[in-house]
Amino acid sequence: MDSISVVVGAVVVIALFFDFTNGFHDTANAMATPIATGALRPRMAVALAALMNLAGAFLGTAVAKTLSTGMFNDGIKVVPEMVFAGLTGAITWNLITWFLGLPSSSSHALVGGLVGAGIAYSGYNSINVANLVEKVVVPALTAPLVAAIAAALATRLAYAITYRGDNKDGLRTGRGKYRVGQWFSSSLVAIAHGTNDGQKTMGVITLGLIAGGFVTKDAGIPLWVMLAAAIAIAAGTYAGGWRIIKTLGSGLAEIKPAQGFAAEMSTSASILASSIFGFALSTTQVASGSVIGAGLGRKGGSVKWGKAGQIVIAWFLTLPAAGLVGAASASLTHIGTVGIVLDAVLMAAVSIAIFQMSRRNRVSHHNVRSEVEGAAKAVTSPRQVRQAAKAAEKAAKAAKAKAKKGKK
Amino acid sequence: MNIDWTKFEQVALGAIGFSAFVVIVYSLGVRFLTSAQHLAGKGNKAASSRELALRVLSYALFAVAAVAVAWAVIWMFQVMYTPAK
Repeated sequence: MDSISVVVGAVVVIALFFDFTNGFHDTANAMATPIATGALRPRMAVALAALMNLAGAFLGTAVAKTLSTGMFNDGIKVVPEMVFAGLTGAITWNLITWFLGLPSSSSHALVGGLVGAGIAYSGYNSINVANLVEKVVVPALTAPLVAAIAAALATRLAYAITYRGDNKDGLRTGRGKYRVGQWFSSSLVAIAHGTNDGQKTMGVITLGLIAGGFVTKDAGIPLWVMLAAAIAIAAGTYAGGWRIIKTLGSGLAEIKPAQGFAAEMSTSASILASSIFGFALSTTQVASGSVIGAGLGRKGGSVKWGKAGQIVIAWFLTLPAAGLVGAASASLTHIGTVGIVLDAVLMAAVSIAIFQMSRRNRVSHHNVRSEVEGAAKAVTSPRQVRQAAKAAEKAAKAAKAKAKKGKK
Repeated sequence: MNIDWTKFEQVALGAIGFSAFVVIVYSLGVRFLTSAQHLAGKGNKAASSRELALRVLSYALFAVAAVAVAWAVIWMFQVMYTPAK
Protein backbone atom coordinates (compact mmCIF):
# COMPACT_ATOMS: atom_id res chain seq x y z
CA MET A 1 0.00 0.00 0.00
CA ASP A 2 1.49 3.39 -0.97
CA SER A 3 1.68 6.37 1.38
CA ILE A 4 -1.15 8.24 -0.40
CA SER A 5 -3.55 5.37 0.26
CA VAL A 6 -2.56 5.37 3.93
CA VAL A 7 -3.12 9.12 4.24
CA VAL A 8 -6.48 8.95 2.42
CA GLY A 9 -7.48 6.05 4.68
CA ALA A 10 -6.57 8.18 7.70
CA VAL A 11 -8.65 11.04 6.26
CA VAL A 12 -11.67 8.73 5.90
CA VAL A 13 -11.32 7.45 9.48
CA ILE A 14 -10.87 10.90 11.00
CA ALA A 15 -13.71 12.32 8.86
CA LEU A 16 -16.02 9.63 10.20
CA PHE A 17 -14.89 10.47 13.74
CA PHE A 18 -15.71 14.11 13.00
CA ASP A 19 -19.12 12.96 11.75
CA PHE A 20 -19.64 11.11 15.04
CA THR A 21 -18.75 14.24 17.06
CA ASN A 22 -21.00 16.27 14.78
CA GLY A 23 -23.86 13.87 15.60
CA PHE A 24 -23.54 14.06 19.38
CA HIS A 25 -22.74 17.78 19.31
CA ASP A 26 -25.94 18.47 17.36
CA THR A 27 -28.44 16.01 18.90
CA ALA A 28 -29.69 19.00 20.85
CA ASN A 29 -30.83 20.81 17.70
CA ALA A 30 -33.73 18.41 17.26
CA MET A 31 -34.25 16.96 20.70
CA ALA A 32 -33.50 19.62 23.34
CA THR A 33 -36.98 21.16 23.19
CA PRO A 34 -39.05 17.91 23.20
CA ILE A 35 -36.98 16.68 26.16
CA ALA A 36 -37.47 20.02 27.93
CA THR A 37 -41.24 19.99 27.44
CA GLY A 38 -41.61 16.31 28.37
CA ALA A 39 -42.82 15.35 24.88
CA LEU A 40 -40.16 12.62 24.61
CA ARG A 41 -38.04 10.71 27.12
CA PRO A 42 -34.30 11.44 26.68
CA ARG A 43 -33.24 7.98 25.42
CA MET A 44 -36.22 7.69 23.10
CA ALA A 45 -35.55 11.20 21.80
CA VAL A 46 -31.95 10.44 20.83
CA ALA A 47 -32.95 7.09 19.27
CA LEU A 48 -35.56 8.84 17.13
CA ALA A 49 -33.05 11.56 16.19
CA ALA A 50 -30.47 8.93 15.21
CA LEU A 51 -32.96 7.13 12.96
CA MET A 52 -34.07 10.35 11.30
CA ASN A 53 -30.48 11.53 10.81
CA LEU A 54 -29.70 8.24 9.12
CA ALA A 55 -32.63 8.69 6.74
CA GLY A 56 -31.87 12.38 6.14
CA ALA A 57 -28.26 11.75 5.15
CA PHE A 58 -29.47 9.89 2.04
CA LEU A 59 -31.77 12.66 0.84
CA GLY A 60 -29.36 14.73 -1.20
CA THR A 61 -25.82 15.81 -2.02
CA ALA A 62 -26.00 19.56 -2.74
CA VAL A 63 -24.21 20.58 0.48
CA ALA A 64 -21.64 17.83 0.03
CA LYS A 65 -20.75 19.31 -3.37
CA THR A 66 -20.27 22.79 -1.87
CA LEU A 67 -17.68 21.34 0.49
CA SER A 68 -16.03 18.88 -1.88
CA THR A 69 -15.58 21.19 -4.85
CA GLY A 70 -16.46 24.77 -3.94
CA MET A 71 -14.07 25.81 -1.17
CA PHE A 72 -10.80 26.11 -3.03
CA ASN A 73 -10.01 27.93 -6.25
CA ASP A 74 -9.59 25.97 -9.47
CA GLY A 75 -6.01 24.92 -10.06
CA ILE A 76 -5.25 24.65 -6.34
CA LYS A 77 -3.92 21.22 -5.52
CA VAL A 78 -5.74 19.89 -2.49
CA VAL A 79 -3.65 17.17 -0.80
CA PRO A 80 -5.08 14.58 1.62
CA GLU A 81 -2.75 15.82 4.40
CA MET A 82 -4.45 19.21 4.17
CA VAL A 83 -7.91 17.66 4.61
CA PHE A 84 -6.58 15.63 7.55
CA ALA A 85 -5.24 18.80 9.20
CA GLY A 86 -8.54 20.62 8.62
CA LEU A 87 -10.47 17.80 10.27
CA THR A 88 -8.29 17.82 13.38
CA GLY A 89 -9.03 21.55 13.77
CA ALA A 90 -12.76 20.90 13.46
CA ILE A 91 -12.79 17.97 15.89
CA THR A 92 -10.76 19.85 18.52
CA TRP A 93 -13.11 22.86 18.43
CA ASN A 94 -16.19 20.61 18.49
CA LEU A 95 -14.95 18.81 21.61
CA ILE A 96 -14.04 22.05 23.41
CA THR A 97 -17.48 23.60 22.78
CA TRP A 98 -19.21 20.32 23.70
CA PHE A 99 -17.31 20.30 27.02
CA LEU A 100 -18.43 23.89 27.67
CA GLY A 101 -22.01 23.00 26.66
CA LEU A 102 -22.02 25.65 23.92
CA PRO A 103 -24.15 24.95 20.83
CA SER A 104 -21.56 26.20 18.33
CA SER A 105 -21.53 25.22 14.69
CA SER A 106 -19.92 21.90 13.68
CA SER A 107 -20.18 23.05 10.07
CA HIS A 108 -18.24 26.23 10.66
CA ALA A 109 -15.67 24.29 12.66
CA LEU A 110 -15.22 22.06 9.63
CA VAL A 111 -15.03 24.94 7.14
CA GLY A 112 -12.71 26.90 9.46
CA GLY A 113 -10.39 23.91 9.90
CA LEU A 114 -10.19 23.29 6.16
CA VAL A 115 -9.66 26.97 5.32
CA GLY A 116 -6.91 27.24 7.97
CA ALA A 117 -5.18 24.15 6.62
CA GLY A 118 -5.65 25.40 3.03
CA ILE A 119 -4.03 28.75 3.85
CA ALA A 120 -1.14 27.01 5.63
CA TYR A 121 -0.54 24.80 2.58
CA SER A 122 -1.21 27.10 -0.39
CA GLY A 123 -1.63 30.66 0.90
CA TYR A 124 -4.64 33.00 1.04
CA ASN A 125 -5.18 32.93 -2.72
CA SER A 126 -6.11 29.25 -2.60
CA ILE A 127 -9.48 29.99 -0.96
CA ASN A 128 -12.56 30.55 -3.13
CA VAL A 129 -13.61 33.56 -1.06
CA ALA A 130 -16.68 34.45 -3.16
CA ASN A 131 -18.17 30.97 -2.81
CA LEU A 132 -17.25 30.84 0.87
CA VAL A 133 -18.95 34.15 1.57
CA GLU A 134 -22.09 33.27 -0.40
CA LYS A 135 -22.50 29.68 0.79
CA VAL A 136 -21.11 29.83 4.32
CA VAL A 137 -20.63 33.32 5.78
CA VAL A 138 -23.83 35.06 4.62
CA PRO A 139 -26.09 32.09 5.53
CA ALA A 140 -24.33 31.99 8.94
CA LEU A 141 -25.37 35.56 9.57
CA THR A 142 -28.86 35.46 8.07
CA ALA A 143 -30.14 31.96 8.90
CA PRO A 144 -30.39 32.34 12.72
CA LEU A 145 -32.17 35.66 12.22
CA VAL A 146 -34.65 34.16 9.74
CA ALA A 147 -35.25 31.20 12.07
CA ALA A 148 -35.76 33.52 15.05
CA ILE A 149 -38.30 35.65 13.14
CA ALA A 150 -40.12 32.53 11.88
CA ALA A 151 -40.21 30.99 15.37
CA ALA A 152 -41.37 34.22 17.06
CA LEU A 153 -44.17 34.63 14.49
CA ALA A 154 -45.19 30.96 14.71
CA THR A 155 -45.23 31.09 18.53
CA ARG A 156 -47.40 34.21 18.51
CA LEU A 157 -49.79 32.57 16.05
CA ALA A 158 -49.99 29.38 18.15
CA TYR A 159 -50.77 31.33 21.33
CA ALA A 160 -53.26 33.64 19.59
CA ILE A 161 -55.18 30.75 18.02
CA THR A 162 -55.39 28.71 21.23
CA TYR A 163 -56.15 31.72 23.47
CA ARG A 164 -59.32 31.23 25.59
CA GLY A 165 -59.85 34.67 27.07
CA ASP A 166 -60.85 34.77 30.75
CA ASN A 167 -61.63 31.02 30.76
CA LYS A 168 -65.03 31.52 32.47
CA ASP A 169 -66.53 28.37 30.84
CA GLY A 170 -63.70 26.23 32.15
CA LEU A 171 -62.41 25.76 28.62
CA ARG A 172 -58.75 24.80 28.50
CA THR A 173 -56.22 26.07 25.97
CA GLY A 174 -55.16 22.50 25.19
CA ARG A 175 -51.59 23.64 24.57
CA GLY A 176 -50.26 20.40 26.05
CA LYS A 177 -51.41 18.80 22.77
CA TYR A 178 -48.44 20.39 21.04
CA ARG A 179 -46.36 17.65 22.66
CA VAL A 180 -47.76 15.16 20.12
CA GLY A 181 -46.92 17.62 17.33
CA GLN A 182 -43.41 17.83 18.72
CA TRP A 183 -42.80 14.15 17.94
CA PHE A 184 -43.18 15.00 14.28
CA SER A 185 -41.62 18.46 14.25
CA SER A 186 -38.49 17.25 16.08
CA SER A 187 -38.26 14.28 13.70
CA LEU A 188 -38.37 16.73 10.81
CA VAL A 189 -35.51 18.74 12.36
CA ALA A 190 -33.50 15.53 12.71
CA ILE A 191 -34.13 14.63 9.04
CA ALA A 192 -33.13 18.14 8.01
CA HIS A 193 -30.00 17.86 10.17
CA GLY A 194 -29.06 14.55 8.58
CA THR A 195 -29.60 16.07 5.14
CA ASN A 196 -27.45 19.09 5.87
CA ASP A 197 -24.77 17.81 8.23
CA GLY A 198 -24.49 14.19 7.08
CA GLN A 199 -23.56 15.58 3.70
CA LYS A 200 -20.71 17.68 5.06
CA THR A 201 -18.71 14.61 5.98
CA MET A 202 -19.56 13.05 2.62
CA GLY A 203 -18.14 16.23 1.05
CA VAL A 204 -14.94 16.08 3.08
CA ILE A 205 -14.31 12.39 2.42
CA THR A 206 -14.92 13.01 -1.28
CA LEU A 207 -12.52 15.97 -1.11
CA GLY A 208 -9.90 13.59 0.36
CA LEU A 209 -10.60 11.02 -2.35
CA ILE A 210 -10.29 13.68 -5.07
CA ALA A 211 -7.06 14.92 -3.48
CA GLY A 212 -5.69 11.38 -3.42
CA GLY A 213 -6.69 10.85 -7.05
CA PHE A 214 -9.17 8.09 -6.24
CA VAL A 215 -12.15 9.89 -7.82
CA THR A 216 -12.40 12.77 -10.27
CA LYS A 217 -13.77 16.19 -9.32
CA ASP A 218 -17.03 15.70 -11.25
CA ALA A 219 -17.60 12.06 -10.28
CA GLY A 220 -20.09 12.82 -7.53
CA ILE A 221 -20.37 11.29 -4.08
CA PRO A 222 -19.63 7.51 -4.01
CA LEU A 223 -22.37 5.32 -2.47
CA TRP A 224 -20.10 3.81 0.21
CA VAL A 225 -19.21 7.33 1.34
CA MET A 226 -22.91 8.17 1.72
CA LEU A 227 -23.49 4.97 3.70
CA ALA A 228 -20.53 5.38 6.03
CA ALA A 229 -21.28 9.05 6.74
CA ALA A 230 -24.96 8.32 7.42
CA ILE A 231 -24.12 5.55 9.90
CA ALA A 232 -21.45 7.65 11.68
CA ILE A 233 -23.73 10.64 12.20
CA ALA A 234 -26.58 8.40 13.39
CA ALA A 235 -24.28 6.66 15.90
CA GLY A 236 -23.02 10.01 17.19
CA THR A 237 -26.58 11.29 17.51
CA TYR A 238 -27.57 8.23 19.53
CA ALA A 239 -24.62 8.83 21.88
CA GLY A 240 -26.40 12.11 22.76
CA GLY A 241 -24.71 15.42 23.49
CA TRP A 242 -26.38 15.84 26.88
CA ARG A 243 -24.43 18.96 27.86
CA ILE A 244 -25.68 20.90 24.85
CA ILE A 245 -29.19 19.46 25.22
CA LYS A 246 -29.17 20.96 28.71
CA THR A 247 -28.12 24.39 27.39
CA LEU A 248 -30.54 24.47 24.47
CA GLY A 249 -33.44 22.92 26.39
CA SER A 250 -33.30 25.22 29.37
CA GLY A 251 -30.31 27.54 29.25
CA LEU A 252 -31.61 29.92 26.60
CA ALA A 253 -35.31 30.27 27.31
CA GLU A 254 -38.08 28.54 29.20
CA ILE A 255 -39.78 26.49 26.51
CA LYS A 256 -43.37 25.27 26.63
CA PRO A 257 -44.85 22.74 24.19
CA ALA A 258 -46.38 25.31 21.81
CA GLN A 259 -43.07 27.17 21.67
CA GLY A 260 -41.16 23.93 21.16
CA PHE A 261 -43.40 22.98 18.25
CA ALA A 262 -43.07 26.45 16.67
CA ALA A 263 -39.29 26.48 17.17
CA GLU A 264 -38.85 23.02 15.61
CA MET A 265 -41.04 23.85 12.60
CA SER A 266 -39.02 27.04 11.99
CA THR A 267 -35.71 25.22 12.37
CA SER A 268 -36.61 22.47 9.94
CA ALA A 269 -38.15 24.86 7.39
CA SER A 270 -35.01 27.06 7.45
CA ILE A 271 -32.61 24.12 7.10
CA LEU A 272 -34.57 22.40 4.35
CA ALA A 273 -34.98 25.60 2.32
CA SER A 274 -31.25 26.34 2.67
CA SER A 275 -30.12 22.83 1.78
CA ILE A 276 -31.81 23.11 -1.60
CA PHE A 277 -29.42 25.92 -2.58
CA GLY A 278 -26.40 24.08 -1.16
CA PHE A 279 -25.86 26.55 1.69
CA ALA A 280 -23.62 24.85 4.25
CA LEU A 281 -25.42 26.58 7.10
CA SER A 282 -25.18 25.75 10.75
CA THR A 283 -28.16 23.76 11.99
CA THR A 284 -27.04 24.62 15.53
CA GLN A 285 -27.22 28.34 14.88
CA VAL A 286 -30.63 27.93 13.27
CA ALA A 287 -31.92 25.86 16.21
CA SER A 288 -30.55 28.38 18.73
CA GLY A 289 -32.13 31.24 16.75
CA SER A 290 -35.47 29.42 16.77
CA VAL A 291 -35.34 28.83 20.54
CA ILE A 292 -34.58 32.53 21.11
CA GLY A 293 -37.41 33.51 18.71
CA ALA A 294 -39.84 31.14 20.44
CA GLY A 295 -38.78 32.57 23.82
CA LEU A 296 -39.53 36.08 22.61
CA GLY A 297 -42.75 35.08 20.82
CA ARG A 298 -44.65 34.09 23.98
CA LYS A 299 -46.19 36.85 26.07
CA GLY A 300 -44.30 36.83 29.36
CA GLY A 301 -41.60 34.63 27.88
CA SER A 302 -37.99 35.56 28.41
CA VAL A 303 -34.57 34.85 26.97
CA LYS A 304 -31.43 34.40 29.05
CA TRP A 305 -29.34 36.94 27.19
CA GLY A 306 -26.17 36.19 29.16
CA LYS A 307 -26.12 32.63 27.84
CA ALA A 308 -27.20 33.80 24.38
CA GLY A 309 -24.23 36.23 24.40
CA GLN A 310 -21.80 33.41 25.28
CA ILE A 311 -23.19 31.33 22.43
CA VAL A 312 -22.87 34.18 19.92
CA ILE A 313 -19.25 34.75 20.99
CA ALA A 314 -18.58 31.03 20.39
CA TRP A 315 -20.16 31.39 16.92
CA PHE A 316 -17.80 34.24 16.02
CA LEU A 317 -14.79 32.37 17.41
CA THR A 318 -15.58 29.09 15.65
CA LEU A 319 -14.21 29.88 12.15
CA PRO A 320 -10.93 31.54 13.31
CA ALA A 321 -10.31 29.12 16.20
CA ALA A 322 -10.85 25.99 14.11
CA GLY A 323 -8.83 27.70 11.37
CA LEU A 324 -5.88 28.28 13.72
CA VAL A 325 -5.89 24.65 14.92
CA GLY A 326 -6.23 23.53 11.28
CA ALA A 327 -3.25 25.71 10.27
CA ALA A 328 -1.13 24.51 13.22
CA SER A 329 -2.04 20.94 12.39
CA ALA A 330 -1.18 21.55 8.72
CA SER A 331 2.28 22.76 9.68
CA LEU A 332 2.80 19.40 11.42
CA THR A 333 1.50 17.34 8.51
CA HIS A 334 3.94 19.25 6.27
CA ILE A 335 6.75 17.23 7.88
CA GLY A 336 5.40 14.03 6.31
CA THR A 337 4.15 10.73 7.72
CA VAL A 338 5.81 11.42 11.11
CA GLY A 339 3.92 14.72 11.28
CA ILE A 340 0.61 13.04 10.49
CA VAL A 341 1.16 10.43 13.19
CA LEU A 342 2.17 13.15 15.68
CA ASP A 343 -0.92 15.13 14.71
CA ALA A 344 -3.18 12.12 15.24
CA VAL A 345 -1.58 11.35 18.62
CA LEU A 346 -1.96 14.97 19.75
CA MET A 347 -5.63 15.03 18.72
CA ALA A 348 -6.29 11.73 20.49
CA ALA A 349 -4.61 13.09 23.64
CA VAL A 350 -6.72 16.27 23.54
CA SER A 351 -9.90 14.21 22.99
CA ILE A 352 -9.14 11.88 25.90
CA ALA A 353 -8.27 14.82 28.17
CA ILE A 354 -11.58 16.55 27.34
CA PHE A 355 -13.59 13.35 27.90
CA GLN A 356 -11.82 12.81 31.24
CA MET A 357 -12.53 16.38 32.37
CA SER A 358 -16.17 16.02 31.34
CA ARG A 359 -16.57 13.04 33.74
CA ARG A 360 -16.12 15.35 36.73
CA ASN A 361 -19.40 17.06 35.99
CA ARG A 362 -21.24 14.39 34.10
CA VAL A 363 -24.47 15.14 32.24
CA SER A 364 -26.17 12.04 30.85
CA HIS A 365 -29.63 10.77 29.95
CA HIS A 366 -30.10 9.92 33.65
CA ASN A 367 -29.86 13.49 34.86
CA VAL A 368 -30.45 15.64 31.78
CA ARG A 369 -34.21 15.62 32.31
CA SER A 370 -33.99 16.81 35.91
CA GLU A 371 -31.48 19.49 34.92
CA VAL A 372 -33.77 20.69 32.13
CA GLU A 373 -36.90 20.38 34.25
CA GLY A 374 -35.31 22.52 36.92
CA ALA A 375 -35.37 25.41 34.51
CA ALA A 376 -38.62 24.56 32.78
CA LYS A 377 -40.53 23.58 35.91
CA ALA A 378 -43.68 25.31 34.70
CA VAL A 379 -43.98 22.62 32.05
CA THR A 380 -45.61 19.50 33.42
CA SER A 381 -46.67 16.56 31.29
CA PRO A 382 -50.22 15.11 31.64
CA ARG A 383 -48.72 11.93 33.12
CA GLN A 384 -46.91 13.95 35.78
CA VAL A 385 -50.17 15.76 36.61
CA ARG A 386 -52.00 12.41 36.98
CA GLN A 387 -49.19 11.00 39.11
CA ALA A 388 -49.21 14.08 41.36
CA ALA A 389 -53.01 13.85 41.73
CA LYS A 390 -52.78 10.13 42.63
CA ALA A 391 -50.02 10.81 45.17
CA ALA A 392 -52.07 13.61 46.75
CA GLU A 393 -55.14 11.31 46.92
CA LYS A 394 -53.08 8.57 48.55
CA ALA A 395 -51.64 10.99 51.09
CA ALA A 396 -55.11 12.31 51.94
CA LYS A 397 -56.43 8.75 52.46
CA ALA A 398 -53.47 7.90 54.67
CA ALA A 399 -54.02 11.04 56.75
CA LYS A 400 -57.73 10.18 57.10
CA ALA A 401 -56.94 6.64 58.23
CA LYS A 402 -54.42 7.97 60.74
CA ALA A 403 -56.94 10.42 62.12
CA LYS A 404 -59.53 7.60 62.52
CA LYS A 405 -56.99 5.47 64.34
CA GLY A 406 -56.21 8.37 66.65
CA LYS A 407 -59.91 8.82 67.52
CA LYS A 408 -60.27 5.16 68.38
CA MET B 1 -18.11 39.32 -5.50
CA ASN B 2 -21.71 38.96 -6.62
CA ILE B 3 -24.07 37.48 -4.06
CA ASP B 4 -27.41 36.22 -5.35
CA TRP B 5 -29.70 37.71 -2.70
CA THR B 6 -32.84 36.30 -4.35
CA LYS B 7 -31.84 32.85 -3.05
CA PHE B 8 -31.72 34.21 0.49
CA GLU B 9 -35.09 35.91 0.03
CA GLN B 10 -36.55 32.60 -1.17
CA VAL B 11 -35.11 30.77 1.85
CA ALA B 12 -36.47 33.41 4.25
CA LEU B 13 -39.93 33.49 2.68
CA GLY B 14 -40.08 29.71 2.39
CA ALA B 15 -39.02 29.17 6.02
CA ILE B 16 -41.36 31.80 7.49
CA GLY B 17 -44.29 30.87 5.25
CA PHE B 18 -44.02 27.11 5.72
CA SER B 19 -43.58 27.19 9.50
CA ALA B 20 -46.44 29.71 9.89
CA PHE B 21 -48.74 27.57 7.71
CA VAL B 22 -48.10 24.34 9.62
CA VAL B 23 -48.39 26.05 13.01
CA ILE B 24 -51.67 27.78 12.05
CA VAL B 25 -53.23 24.54 10.80
CA TYR B 26 -52.04 22.50 13.81
CA SER B 27 -53.12 25.21 16.28
CA LEU B 28 -56.62 25.32 14.78
CA GLY B 29 -56.71 21.55 15.18
CA VAL B 30 -55.71 21.90 18.85
CA ARG B 31 -58.37 24.57 19.43
CA PHE B 32 -61.18 22.55 17.83
CA LEU B 33 -60.17 19.31 19.56
CA THR B 34 -60.08 21.03 22.95
CA SER B 35 -63.55 22.50 22.29
CA ALA B 36 -64.81 19.03 21.29
CA GLN B 37 -63.41 17.51 24.50
CA HIS B 38 -65.10 20.26 26.50
CA LEU B 39 -68.45 19.50 24.83
CA ALA B 40 -68.06 15.75 25.41
CA GLY B 41 -69.12 16.01 29.04
CA LYS B 42 -72.37 17.93 28.34
CA GLY B 43 -74.48 14.94 27.37
CA ASN B 44 -77.22 16.60 25.29
CA LYS B 45 -77.83 15.77 21.62
CA ALA B 46 -76.97 19.17 20.13
CA ALA B 47 -73.70 19.23 22.02
CA SER B 48 -72.74 15.72 20.93
CA SER B 49 -73.33 16.41 17.23
CA ARG B 50 -71.30 19.62 17.54
CA GLU B 51 -68.62 17.67 19.37
CA LEU B 52 -68.43 15.15 16.53
CA ALA B 53 -68.15 17.91 13.91
CA LEU B 54 -65.38 19.65 15.84
CA ARG B 55 -63.54 16.38 16.39
CA VAL B 56 -63.67 15.50 12.66
CA LEU B 57 -62.56 19.01 11.73
CA SER B 58 -59.64 18.92 14.17
CA TYR B 59 -58.42 15.53 12.90
CA ALA B 60 -58.71 16.81 9.32
CA LEU B 61 -56.54 19.79 10.26
CA PHE B 62 -53.94 17.55 11.93
CA ALA B 63 -53.92 15.47 8.74
CA VAL B 64 -53.33 18.60 6.62
CA ALA B 65 -50.38 19.55 8.87
CA ALA B 66 -48.96 16.03 8.55
CA VAL B 67 -49.39 16.07 4.76
CA ALA B 68 -47.61 19.46 4.58
CA VAL B 69 -44.64 18.04 6.50
CA ALA B 70 -44.56 14.89 4.34
CA TRP B 71 -44.81 17.02 1.21
CA ALA B 72 -41.84 19.14 2.34
CA VAL B 73 -39.69 16.02 2.73
CA ILE B 74 -40.77 14.54 -0.62
CA TRP B 75 -40.35 17.86 -2.44
CA MET B 76 -36.89 18.32 -0.97
CA PHE B 77 -35.95 14.80 -2.02
CA GLN B 78 -37.08 15.50 -5.61
CA VAL B 79 -35.23 18.82 -5.81
CA MET B 80 -32.00 17.72 -4.16
CA TYR B 81 -31.51 14.10 -4.98
CA THR B 82 -28.66 13.14 -7.25
CA PRO B 83 -27.91 9.45 -7.45
CA ALA B 84 -24.70 8.22 -5.86
CA LYS B 85 -22.02 6.96 -8.27
